[in-house]
Amino acid sequence: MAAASPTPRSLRPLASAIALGIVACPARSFAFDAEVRAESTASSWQVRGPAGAAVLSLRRFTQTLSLAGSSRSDDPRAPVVRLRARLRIDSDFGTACDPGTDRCLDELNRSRAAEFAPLFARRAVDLPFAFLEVSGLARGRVDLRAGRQLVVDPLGFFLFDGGLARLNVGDVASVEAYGGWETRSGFPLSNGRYERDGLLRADRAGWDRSTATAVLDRASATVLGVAVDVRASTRLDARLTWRRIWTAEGVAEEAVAARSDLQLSGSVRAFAEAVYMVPMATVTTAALGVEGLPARGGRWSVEVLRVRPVFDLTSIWASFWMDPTDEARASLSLPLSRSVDLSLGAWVRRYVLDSEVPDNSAPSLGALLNVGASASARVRRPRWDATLRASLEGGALGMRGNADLALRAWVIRRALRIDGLVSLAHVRDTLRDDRSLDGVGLVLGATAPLGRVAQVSVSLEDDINTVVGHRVRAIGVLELRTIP
Amino acid sequence: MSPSLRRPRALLAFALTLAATLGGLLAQPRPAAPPAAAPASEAPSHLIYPTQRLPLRFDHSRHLAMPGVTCASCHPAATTSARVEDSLLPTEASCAPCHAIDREHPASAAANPLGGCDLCHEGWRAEAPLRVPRAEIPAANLRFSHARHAAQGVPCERCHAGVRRVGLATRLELPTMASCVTCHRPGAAPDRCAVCHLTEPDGRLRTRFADGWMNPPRWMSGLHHDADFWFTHRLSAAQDGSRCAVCHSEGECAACHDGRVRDRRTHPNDYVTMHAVDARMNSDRCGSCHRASSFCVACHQRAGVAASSSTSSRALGRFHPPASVWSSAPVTLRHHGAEARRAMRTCTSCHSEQDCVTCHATLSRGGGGFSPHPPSFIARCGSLLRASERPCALCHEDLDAVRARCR
Repeated sequence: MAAASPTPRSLRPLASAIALGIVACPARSFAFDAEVRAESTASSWQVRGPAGAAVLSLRRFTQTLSLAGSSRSDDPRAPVVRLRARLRIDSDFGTACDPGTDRCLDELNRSRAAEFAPLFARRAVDLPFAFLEVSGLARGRVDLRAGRQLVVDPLGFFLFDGGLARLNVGDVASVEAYGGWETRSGFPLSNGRYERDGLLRADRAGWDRSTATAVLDRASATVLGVAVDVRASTRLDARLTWRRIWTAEGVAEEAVAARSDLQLSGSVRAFAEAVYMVPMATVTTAALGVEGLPARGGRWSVEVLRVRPVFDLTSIWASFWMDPTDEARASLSLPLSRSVDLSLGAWVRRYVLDSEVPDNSAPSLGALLNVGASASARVRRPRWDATLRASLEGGALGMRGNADLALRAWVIRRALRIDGLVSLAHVRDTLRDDRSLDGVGLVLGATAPLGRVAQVSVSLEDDINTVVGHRVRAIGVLELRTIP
Repeated sequence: MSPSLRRPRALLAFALTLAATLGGLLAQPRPAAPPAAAPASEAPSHLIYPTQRLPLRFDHSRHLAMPGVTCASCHPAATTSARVEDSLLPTEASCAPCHAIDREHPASAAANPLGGCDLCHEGWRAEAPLRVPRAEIPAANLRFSHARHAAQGVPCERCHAGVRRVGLATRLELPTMASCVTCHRPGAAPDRCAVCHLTEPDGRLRTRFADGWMNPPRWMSGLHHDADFWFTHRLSAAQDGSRCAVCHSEGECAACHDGRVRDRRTHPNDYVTMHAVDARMNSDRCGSCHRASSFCVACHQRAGVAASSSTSSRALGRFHPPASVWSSAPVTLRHHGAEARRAMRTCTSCHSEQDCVTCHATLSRGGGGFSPHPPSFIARCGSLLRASERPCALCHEDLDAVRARCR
């Protein structure tokens, strides 16, 4: 389904906000701080398919350019204007070759259906976010934001082009409303990362109808959301939110979520979260937890979680039979000294496959269990730090264990940072035993700040395991920072 | 679809969450912030107050016990200073009214009991009498105005608690955030983080200092960045992303959750070779960074794993267990139906709708007629149908009949 490019739409709210920001902020005693950052990352590694038919030699170059700024005023009650934007260009110079014949595929050529990889792009340009925000208008009561922006709340990550307005009711509550167009795959400057799962989409303009029919054409989606936040002193922090996303094909998502943090006593808090998918009439996430902060230091928590996958309601998956996964998790964090802390965790995951079947028409399969535990220790000193983490999870669905020791040290008067990582892994795949493996990974890297404006880092990784043998990965990163 | 989530237990969980929210709304706000869990012994941060060098001898308890001596007697600039960079150490002029300091004839305390140089200066040597080790007190990494606090009538000891009982005052007598927030709280003194903390040009708090990264204090509910926080931060971030945004930019979220470079903390070793087991165990967690219907499918197609892979790259042999187990009756725990019910997202990391419609469409649509719906689906298919008819139409030829059944 063809749709207009969202780019002009995304610019409209941004332009409005810029105008509003200029009007809303008094010219007197107004200054604007800004910085520009650029990051260039080059990496190279190989991936082999499970049967070894194709080996992907991945050589990737990613360039990001970020602009960030905010207003500064001597008056603490003055509105604050913030601007943030990031542009990313991700180029893939890799190849997919058959190691037996040395023949490489032409994955971009739609006329060669036997080789065409429809979702592969040699170069992807996207705008992860770009917005202007004015906060503290009307004596701190109103915040406005426009452009491509990310909402992070109990409904998960959500990226859209549009506007958001927040009304602050004193210090205890705020009401937020947002609307616009979801950032979806197939459109310019979009990668659709935060779309719900279910549908494969691309810009099919110029594609033959018979080419890669599983991939649908892009489709724009409108979004409307409302949220209420409550902060009753230090006792309660809660958010109740509703969001609806719809396309020409129907409602892709409509959900209500509530999340609250309640301070039960000076050192104990409880939190609860629930997400309810309205058209499915189903609670897709339910969580309850308690966290304690003993006076002697440390932290403990216990939480239970029930979750089930969520799919785009315009896809068939949303109406398939899906069972929930239950998880109970306990964790304990102990500061052993000012520079050493220890964290322990344990969890049980239960895959419920004995759903209640009123008419006994479907088989009851019982439940599967997985049990896991982890331990992390971290030492932080001014010139070096080290982290040891080990985790093991096993049960009906196989086993995975790993132990990683990461070291980081500043040398030559902080002119160079050395990074090292030793990683051990054991995997047992009950579904495909030929993929079970033992492996060791070694990483050595170095980072050097070049004055206050640049930093360069390189790392080399060598992984050895019983399935694919050696795999080498090299990464180089150059970061630049400019303050105009 | 599991009916269990729609039954009383699930509804009870949802109701409890709402009740907790509403209960909190109705609860009387308590006098706020001093974090009761903040241990009194928590020392000031080395990042906020860098290490000092104090080659001095001094006894605050003895001086403050003297009649008429106040803090301002020795620190007169403390009531007018507006910047943390200001030096508020007493100068010789402050000491001179009581101490007979003789710069013309510098001597030890043995010779000049009240005016000897080594009475206050540790490391004083008679060979170099006018060269004493200097005190080094780096400016705090904060914004702070003594003048503004003094003008509000804040007594010195409210922030410098215990100074009356110590000898030499050190970093330990500087205020911690736990004491600041007893006044800096909603409805009282300004409580925005940037009122005290340094900021970056984009308005976020500055968290990177010469000696490391600044993290939230341990008592700040749910935000303690302990050794496992990397793996558990969802519980804090899902509450309200704006709390994270005080220190973190959207770029930091995107670097991992929409990243292009594999993070070794989350995915150490040759993770791509071993990821399948993790994905089977907890595909929902994979979804926090990877969209199965694009990221996973795209790679699986190229690597020849996906059903929709090009024929030239398709792996030889069968990826799934034998058909006798995977797709034939009876349905066991190793059957694809059970795997799909348990972890549908892993299916969508390789398969498109078309792959499933082939068998699950109705006979009249050319499929096998194997219904993928849960047993009680008929009771609520109406709301899904009203949301979108598209998925229904893929398997059902007679939509009017579907509409009639799903009201």
